[in-house]
Amino acid sequence: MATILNMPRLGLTMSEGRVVRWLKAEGDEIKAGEEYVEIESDKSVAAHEAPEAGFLLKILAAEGDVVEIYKPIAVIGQQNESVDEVLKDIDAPSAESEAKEPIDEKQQMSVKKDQETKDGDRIFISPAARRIAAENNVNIAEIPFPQGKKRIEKAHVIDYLEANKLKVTPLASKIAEEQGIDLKSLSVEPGKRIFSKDLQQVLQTSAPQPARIKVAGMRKVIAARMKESIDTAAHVSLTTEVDMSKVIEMRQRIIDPIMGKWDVKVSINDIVIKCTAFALKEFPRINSVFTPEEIIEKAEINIGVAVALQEGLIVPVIRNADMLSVGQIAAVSKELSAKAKAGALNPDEYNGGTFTVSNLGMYDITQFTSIINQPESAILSVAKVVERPVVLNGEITVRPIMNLSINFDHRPIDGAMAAVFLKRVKELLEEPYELMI
Amino acid sequence: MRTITYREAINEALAEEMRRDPEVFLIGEDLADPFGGSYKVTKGLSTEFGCDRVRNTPISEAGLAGAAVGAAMAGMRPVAEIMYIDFTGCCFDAIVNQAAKIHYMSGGQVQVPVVFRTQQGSGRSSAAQHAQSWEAIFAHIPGLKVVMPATPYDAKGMLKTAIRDNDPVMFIEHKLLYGVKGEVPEEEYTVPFGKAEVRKEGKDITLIASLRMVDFALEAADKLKADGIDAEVIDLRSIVPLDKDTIISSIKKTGRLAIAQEAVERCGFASEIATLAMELAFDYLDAPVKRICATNTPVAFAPALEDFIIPNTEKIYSAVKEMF
Repeated sequence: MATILNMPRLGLTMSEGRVVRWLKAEGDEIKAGEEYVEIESDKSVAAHEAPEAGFLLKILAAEGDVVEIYKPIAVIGQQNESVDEVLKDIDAPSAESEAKEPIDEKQQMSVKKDQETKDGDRIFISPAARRIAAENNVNIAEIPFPQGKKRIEKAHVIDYLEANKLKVTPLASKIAEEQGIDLKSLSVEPGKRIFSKDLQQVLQTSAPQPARIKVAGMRKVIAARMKESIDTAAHVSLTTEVDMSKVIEMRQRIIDPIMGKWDVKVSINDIVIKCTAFALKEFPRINSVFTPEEIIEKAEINIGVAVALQEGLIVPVIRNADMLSVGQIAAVSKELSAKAKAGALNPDEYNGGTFTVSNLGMYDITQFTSIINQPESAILSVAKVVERPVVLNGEITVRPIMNLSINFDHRPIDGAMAAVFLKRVKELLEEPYELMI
Repeated sequence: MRTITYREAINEALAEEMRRDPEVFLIGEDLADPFGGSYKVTKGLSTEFGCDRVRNTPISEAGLAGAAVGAAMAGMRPVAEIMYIDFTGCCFDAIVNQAAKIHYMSGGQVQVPVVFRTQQGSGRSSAAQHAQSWEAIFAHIPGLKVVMPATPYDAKGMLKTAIRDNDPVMFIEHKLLYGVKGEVPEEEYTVPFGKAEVRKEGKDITLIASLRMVDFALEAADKLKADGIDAEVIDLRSIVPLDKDTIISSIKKTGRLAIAQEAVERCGFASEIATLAMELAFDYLDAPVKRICATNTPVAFAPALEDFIIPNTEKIYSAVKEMF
């Protein structure tokens, strides 16, 4: 059985000793009473004799190390014996191994006294002290036990609070409050005043924490659909400029009658939807769904209108938009948009779209592209109408110009076809009365 | 202000109440002049009021107590003197089963406005049958009020309150206080029941006492000052009804409680106060409550043994010191 060899106590006043030289190496055999190590105490250097015979299994204190008396310096035992077991004991000394060590009377008394301050996990503390500690969020285990007392009393808690009270300059206090810094978290020497520069260091090292929003619900759907679209469709985008003079002029003329009939203020976007639906009728391929086996050109023209919500977006659908008047489109669009924002859309009000129109004009966006809303094959991005100088018949003139972009899936739609479709929408917007023909 | 003795103060209270109310009369053993009572408390009263109102009885506590309770039920206001509280054993039934119960058992129709004046305590080698302190025995009986004046001022003021009270009152005096002098105003006053008196303010410990223990507690507090301990001394004065507010607010201030009691420790009134402290001020206590009481023995006749048994200034002082 392996045994621990402890730092010997070579004199009454010795509390620690220094290992001067190992006279044996690990693995060497030692006879009982044989000198195996030289120890320097506060008074002298002396070789120490092995208390029992065996092999020096492990040296725990290197030459020059200072070790407290009765603390391990080496392990002795049978040849090639494992030292794991005894080393474990060193890490967690058992009551038995402690008891083996000689304790003088004075030490015994102090041990006894310490035991009286606690009973297991229970710290002896008066009810009043316990209350004061609780009121001040003090962990009673941190309060030093008052010497010569039977229990921690109220006054000791108050002393503890006083000693640990943070001294803070007014400026530092203000900064801490504004920045939400817990002054107790600062590692300042007890009793030292906290200055504003101490806080600056904290602010520099502790960057503001990012907000973390769980991906769920609508955000999860949006993320999946957008990524799916990018992964499946062969995205291409085209942009053109549209002179919106006539649309604006027409809108002025029909705004009041529509208000009278449908109780809605018709928007430029409503007219864009009308023209788009009209053009889609001529280009059924743009209004299609692509599958590996077939291209399905949809019989209905159902135009989705992207609506931004507080968080996320949704695309309610104006069904059979080609069959609706501008006034009807305006009315349906307004109703769907309101319902979308209130979260009151029925599934059939946002399912079944065949083409999507997205408008960011109200945010002063002058040109943008969109991601195709699967399983549709194209999406129209409508930008803001901006007055711009243009050259017409060799003359520079100012016109209300709107950028119109189409993103399409190149699998069912070729570039030229998309370009012709976009051009057709542009023509309709520039000559809206053609809708009447 | 003039100073008179505890004895004179009680005598004045009796005389004034007898002058004020013709229903008040005294009954007891050897009350009349020239003897004037075994502690001379009633001296001169039979001369002024006549032997009909200061009635000497045979040596029969059972008889005089029963007569007093009966007279009270019939509308008189008797003040019965039981020479030693130790003798109330003889008239226990009249006090405990009759006087204390009749108001309840008659559904409030009959009142028993009797005062049992008696004295207790040791310190004179009176031995086991003449030196007991029995306040807790009567405090245990619902229907009795129990008061214990420690000063001439309180003795006079509380006796007047006792005589005017419509319930039976155990008015407990102390045999060694009769000669103690104190300030007593000449004008009319009463001292209400249920109000303790803070005899000395302090911040480190609440020291509670009654009767003769009050002086010991004050002397102990004086000695403790030298040790840096500032004791608050409370004289209970009346134990039923009890002034819990004064006791508890003092404990909340000081965080420590010691009770000095001349009665034996076991089941004494000190235990009642200790329990109240735990129930009402637990979270304010910084140390276990300490009782400084007589040993659980009969009071010895031998002076040295009596000293050993009964609390005194030194015992209170050292017990309190141990609490810090």
